[in-house]
Amino acid sequence: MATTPRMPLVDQTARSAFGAIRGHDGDLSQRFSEMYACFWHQGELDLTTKETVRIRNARITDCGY
Amino acid sequence: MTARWSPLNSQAPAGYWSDESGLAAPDGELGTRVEGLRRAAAEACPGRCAELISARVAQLLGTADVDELEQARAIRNWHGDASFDEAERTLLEIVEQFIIDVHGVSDEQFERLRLHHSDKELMALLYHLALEDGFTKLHATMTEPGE
Repeated sequence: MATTPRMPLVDQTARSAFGAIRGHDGDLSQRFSEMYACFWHQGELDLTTKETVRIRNARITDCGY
Repeated sequence: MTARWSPLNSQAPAGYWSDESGLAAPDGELGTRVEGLRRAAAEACPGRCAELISARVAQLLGTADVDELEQARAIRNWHGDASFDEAERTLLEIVEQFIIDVHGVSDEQFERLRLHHSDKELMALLYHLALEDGFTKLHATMTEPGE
């Protein structure tokens, strides 16, 4: 999968292509960050289950992260 | 529940994205944040783009109900419908490729979409597309066929 952003970078220090461009909409970026943090730090599932799903998802979709 | 609307004639009424998400938000902070992101992305999309994306995703994933199919018949046949402008046609082209095989979305298609939208609008469109794809598949997984 291409990891070269198709949009101008907003955050040159971001660790991922998505992180580098999502600041084009600050409100959505903030909402996504808060939702994602909430997903990993709260909820019914343990971290092992969440990470297993994340890795499998990344493998199937050819995501580099 | 809000009144039905036609994606061809208007933007969704206020409250639509939170009231008719297809899945009730689970209790708790995560559910609230997910719904908030989803609603914000939809409302940040320009014009009727959010409605077009949602209708086409539902059609392609086989979750659109009869009423929605009737309302959105033109969207299904957008290739030959001159009522869709170039920006909408480009968007629908990318929506279809995103659902069929996201790796097939080309640089050329993305550049054409950029001709019609600001970078901020692009983020809203892509967030909304990704969230609609995910939630539509989630809904399909958690419900019986035909529901």
